[in-house]
Amino acid sequence: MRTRASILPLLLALGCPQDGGTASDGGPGTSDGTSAGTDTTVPTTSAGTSSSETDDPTGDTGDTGDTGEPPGEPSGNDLDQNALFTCRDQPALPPADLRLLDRYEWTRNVGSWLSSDLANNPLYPRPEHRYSTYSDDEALDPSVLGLYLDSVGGAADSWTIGKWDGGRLRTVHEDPECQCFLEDAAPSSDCVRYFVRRYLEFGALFRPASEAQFDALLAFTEGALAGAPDVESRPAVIKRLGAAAWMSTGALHRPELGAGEPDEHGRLQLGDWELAQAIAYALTRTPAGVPSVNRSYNAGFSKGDVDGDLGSILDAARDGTIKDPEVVAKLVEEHIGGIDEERRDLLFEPHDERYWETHSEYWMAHGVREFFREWLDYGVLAAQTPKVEVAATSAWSGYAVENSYQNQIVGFYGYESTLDYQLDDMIARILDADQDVFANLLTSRMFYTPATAGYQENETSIWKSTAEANRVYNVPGITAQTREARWIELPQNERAGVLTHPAWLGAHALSFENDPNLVHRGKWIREELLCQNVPDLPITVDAKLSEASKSQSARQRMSEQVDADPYCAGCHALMNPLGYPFEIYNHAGFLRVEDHGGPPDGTSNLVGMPSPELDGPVTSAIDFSQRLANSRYAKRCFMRQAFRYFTGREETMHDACTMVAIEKAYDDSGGSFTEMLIALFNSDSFQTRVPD
Amino acid sequence: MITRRNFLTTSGLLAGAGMLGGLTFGSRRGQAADGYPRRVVIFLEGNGIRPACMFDPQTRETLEGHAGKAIESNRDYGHDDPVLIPAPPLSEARALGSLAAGDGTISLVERSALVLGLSATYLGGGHSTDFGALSASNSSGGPASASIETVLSQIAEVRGNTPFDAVRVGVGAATSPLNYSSCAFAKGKPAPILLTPRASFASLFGSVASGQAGEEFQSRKQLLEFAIDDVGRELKDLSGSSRGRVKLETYEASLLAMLARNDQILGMKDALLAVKPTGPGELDPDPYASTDPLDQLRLQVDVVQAALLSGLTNVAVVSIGSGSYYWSMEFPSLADFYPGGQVIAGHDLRHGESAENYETLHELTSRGVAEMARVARALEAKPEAGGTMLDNTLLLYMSDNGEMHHSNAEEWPMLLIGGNNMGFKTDGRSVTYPKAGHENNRQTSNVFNSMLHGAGLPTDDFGHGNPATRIAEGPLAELWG
Repeated sequence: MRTRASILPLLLALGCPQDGGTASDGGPGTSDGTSAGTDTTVPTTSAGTSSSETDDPTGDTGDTGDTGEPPGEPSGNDLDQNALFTCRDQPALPPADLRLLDRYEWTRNVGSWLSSDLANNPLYPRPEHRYSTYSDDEALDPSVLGLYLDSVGGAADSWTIGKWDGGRLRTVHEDPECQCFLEDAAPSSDCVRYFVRRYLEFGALFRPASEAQFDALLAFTEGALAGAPDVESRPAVIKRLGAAAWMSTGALHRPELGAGEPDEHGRLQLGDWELAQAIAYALTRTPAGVPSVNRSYNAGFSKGDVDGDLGSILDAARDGTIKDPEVVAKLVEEHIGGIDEERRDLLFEPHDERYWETHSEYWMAHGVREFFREWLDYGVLAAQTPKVEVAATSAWSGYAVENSYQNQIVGFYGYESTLDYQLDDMIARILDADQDVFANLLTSRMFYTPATAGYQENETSIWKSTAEANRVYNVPGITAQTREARWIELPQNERAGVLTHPAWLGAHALSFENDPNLVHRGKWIREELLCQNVPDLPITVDAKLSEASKSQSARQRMSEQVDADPYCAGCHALMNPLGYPFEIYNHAGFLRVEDHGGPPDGTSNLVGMPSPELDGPVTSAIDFSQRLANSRYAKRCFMRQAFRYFTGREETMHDACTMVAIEKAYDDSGGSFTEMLIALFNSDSFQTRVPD
Repeated sequence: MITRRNFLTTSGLLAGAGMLGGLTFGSRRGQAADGYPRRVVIFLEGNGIRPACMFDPQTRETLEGHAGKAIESNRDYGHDDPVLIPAPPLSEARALGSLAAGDGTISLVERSALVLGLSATYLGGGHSTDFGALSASNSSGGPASASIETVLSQIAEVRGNTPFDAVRVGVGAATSPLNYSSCAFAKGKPAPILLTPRASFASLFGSVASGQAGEEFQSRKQLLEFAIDDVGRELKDLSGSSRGRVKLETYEASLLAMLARNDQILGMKDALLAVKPTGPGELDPDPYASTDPLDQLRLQVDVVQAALLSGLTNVAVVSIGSGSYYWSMEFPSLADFYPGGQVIAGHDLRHGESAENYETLHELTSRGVAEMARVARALEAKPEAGGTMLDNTLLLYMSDNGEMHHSNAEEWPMLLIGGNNMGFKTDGRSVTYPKAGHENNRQTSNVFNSMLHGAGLPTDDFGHGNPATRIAEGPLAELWG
C-alpha cells in the first residue's frame, strides 16, 4: 500500500476530490452568461478531469475511446455541461467519414436475422467505444477480414431461396423483372444487367450505384455465369455476385462525406442519400430498402414491400425532400415506434412467434431500442457475472424462485420474454406516450412482467424454472398470460423507473447480494446520468472487500472498509453516495425485506452534486430517481447521451447550438423524445460534414 | 494497424525470406542458433493458476526448508535468491502429470522448466489482467501496447515464410466468437482470439477442406482481386476525408495481405493435407458439435498443432478462458471433480473455497497442461534443422492474472517446454524466485525479455509503460542464456 505522503498527489492527479468526500471541486460554477439569447445556465461542478487527460504518475494507462474529433479537442464527459448548453454560434464541425457497417447492420442488410449463422459475422464494434454507432478507427484489419471471408460467401443466400421457402425476400420474388435471371438457362444481357443492378442497389449498397461499381460487378457476374451456364447452378452464381458485392467498399461502408458547395464554415451538406440513410440507420440500424423477409411460414413477412422496408425514406431520398425538415419530422414519427399487436419488429429476434407474442404491444425502432440498451447498459445481461442466491434478503426463497430468475436471464424454458426485453417494453410504452419522457423513464411504475399462468407445478414439467418468474418484481400470485395482466403498476414504495428495474439493477451488480454492487450502480449514474468522469482504479489498489466481512451487509462493508478510508473515499465519494439508495434491492434486483439482520437501508446524503437540485438526503432509490427525474442537469446529460448515440460520435463545444436546439424542442413539446430526435436530425451537427 | 507502407515491408519480408534450413540433426544447444526456425506457443489460462497444483514434492520441500514453515502462498517464501533445483520430479506435481512418459509417449520432464515466484503486481490482478498478462503493461484502459506474441511474430527469424504471423485461438464463456480482451496488435488495438474451432479450422485449413468450405476457399482469390480493384478505385476517387481514407487503406492492405497469404497457402496443399486435422462434419458424431469447453479446447489445439507442423505459423496463443469473464465456463467433462459431482456456474466454482473446488481447478489446469504436452510431443516427433521441432519451439503455460480467482498478481506459475535451440534451459529444472516485494523478485516481463532474446530480438525492457514498475531489466539467467 502506498504511503500517505504519496497518496494525495496521486488522488489529485486522478481527479478525485479530497475535501471530505464531496464531488465538488470548489463549489457551483456558472456559465459566463454570454448565451445567444437563451439562458440555459444550470449551476454545475465538475467531478473530475478525464483520466485520459491526467498525467498518471503510475503510468500504464491506455489512451482509448472515440472522440470523433481531431485529437486534443475536448469532448464527451470532459466538457462543462453549462457551456455545452449555451449557444455561442459556434458552427458544428463533424468530420467527413466512411462508416463501416457493424454486425447487426450487415446481418439485416443481407436479409438475415439475429441468431442466424450470418449473424455470427465478425463486424463487431470496437469494444472501447461508448456506443456501437461510433465509427472512429472502425476498419477491416487482416484478422477481421480473415473471419469476414468465412461469412461473406453467405451474403446472398437469401437471394437464392425459393419462392415458397422460409427466408425468402420480397425484393427477389415479388419483382417480375428478377425472374428471368432465376429461371432462364440463358438470361439475356438486359436480364443480367437488371439483376446485377437490383442486387447492387437493393441488396448491398442501398443507394444508387455508380457506373464504375455497376460495371465491375456486371463483369464479375458475367464471368461467373460463363463458368456455370445452366440454371441449376444459378444460385451459386448469385452467391458469387453477392459475395463480390459485399467485398466492395461501397457495401461495407456508409459514406458521410457531404456534397455540393461548402458553406461559410467550410462544411458540406450530406447528400440526399447520405442524409436519408443516416436517418434510417440512426432510427433502425438498417438502411431504407432493407429487404422484407419471410422468416418462416407462420411468421410471414417483415415490414416492407418489393423494394424493402422504410419506403417513405427511400422516396424522400429519391425526390430530395429529405432536406425538408417537415419531411424529416414525418419520417421520424412514422418509424420511431408505437403500438403493434403483431410485433412484426420481433421477426428479426431470436426464437419464433411463440416467444414474440408474449412481448408487449409497444415497440420501438431497433436503433432507438439499442440506444436505451447501450445507454442504460442492460442489453448484455446474460453475459454479466452470474448471480448467486438471487433472492437472498428478499421475501422470496426456494429453488423455483432461483431457477425462474436464472431463466429470466437466458430464456431457455418457456416462452416468456427475458428481463432485458421486459425493460425494452417498459421503455417503449413510455416513448409511445412521448410526454415527459425523461421524467417518466425515472419514475414510471408500469412494468411489463412475466406471466406465470400455465407454468405452475401441475401445469408443466418446466415449472421449476418458470413458476415464480414474477417474484423478482415482488409480484405475488400467478400472472395470467395476457398482455394486460403482464402490465402491472408496482407499488410506489417498491419501484420507480428504469433504475429500479431488475434488468438494470442486475446488469450493474456482481454475484452476491452484499458484493459492492452499489459502487457499480453509483459509477454508472455518475458517468452516464450526470455525464461526469470517474477516474480509473489506480493500479496500486487492491480493490477488494475483506473475506472476514462476508457476513455483513454491503452497506456496512463499504462504509467501514472504503468510506472510512480517506484514500479510498476520495474517489468512492463520486460513486458510493449514488449507489447506496439502491441497497433496498439485492444484486439481482429483488426488493429486500431485510439486510443482514436490519431493515433495508437506502438512505444517502448527496452533497457536492453537479447541480443544487440534486443535493440533499434521499431515503431510497425511489426517492433518488424522483429527484433525478426533476433535475434539468440530469435531463441534459440524457440528451447528451442521445446525441452521442444517434450522431455516432462524442459531442464537442461546436455542438452547443445543437444541444440548445434539441433541449428547446424537447421542452417545448412537453418532453417528447420524438421531437428531440427530429431536432437533432435537422441540426447541422447531423446534416453537415467538414472535409479535410 | 496495417498500413500500405508496412504491408510493403511485410510483403518484402515474405518475398525475401528463404526456405528454412535443411535437416541437420544436431545436439540440443544452449544458445539460439541462426538459421534454425524459432517458434513460440503460449497457453494462457484465465483467472489464475493455483501454485499448489504446480509444486512438485521436491520443490515444495526445498522451499519450505528455506521458509522454515509450510508454504500456503508465495508470501511464505523465505529465500533471498532464486532457488534452482536441477531435476525435481516435475511430473509428480498435481497439474504436471502429463509430462511423464506414458504408453508410447515420451517423457517431457527433462524438456521442461517450472518457474515459480514471478510477480506482476503492477498489472492489478483481480479476475483478469486482460491485455496486461501478455503485454506486461497495465491495461485498465485497453491495451497499452502490443502483446508479446505480436512482437514475436514480427521478428523475421520467427516469421520466416509462414503465411500467418500469429494464430490466436481458444475457448471461453462468450456469446460472440471473438475474444478481444487478451491480445493486442498495438496500443489501443485489440487482436481477436477465435473462440470457435469451426472458425479456426476454416481460417487455417479451409484451403484443403472438403465440401462447401473448401470450395469457398478456392474461390477467394477472385473475390479478393475484385475487392482490391474496387478499393483502389474508391481510394482514387475519395477526397475530403482523411478518416475515411485511413479505413480504406487499412482494408486495401488487409486485402493485399490476404491475397498473398492465400496464394501461399494454396501452394502448401501437400503440407497441409499431410497434417490436416479433422474438419467439421467429417466424423459422426461431429466433435465440432460439442459445447464442452474441453472438447473445444482439444479441437483448437489440434488446429494449432497442425498449423505449426505444416508451417502455417510459428506463433500461437491458446486461450483457456483468458480475459474479462471468459474464464466463467462450466466443464461438464469435469463433473466428477465438482463438489458433489454437480457442475456449477463458472464464477461459483472459482469463488468457492473448498478443497473440492480447488481440486476441480487443479484438474482444469492439468488438462490445459496436457494439451500443451500433446503439442510438445507432436513437435518432438518431427525432425528438422537443429534436431526436432520441439528444440526450436518454446511452449509456455501461464495464467492471465496470477495465482487465483481474485489475485494480487504476486505469483505467476509458469511451465516452459522445449525451445532449447532458442537458448532456454528447459532441462527438467525448477526455478523459484523470491517473493513479491523482495529486491530479487523477478517479473513476468523478464520471461518475455528472455523469449525476445531467444527469438532474435534482444530486448531487456519489454512492457512496463511505467518503467518504475519494473524490478529488473533483462532476461532470466536461470532460464535462458
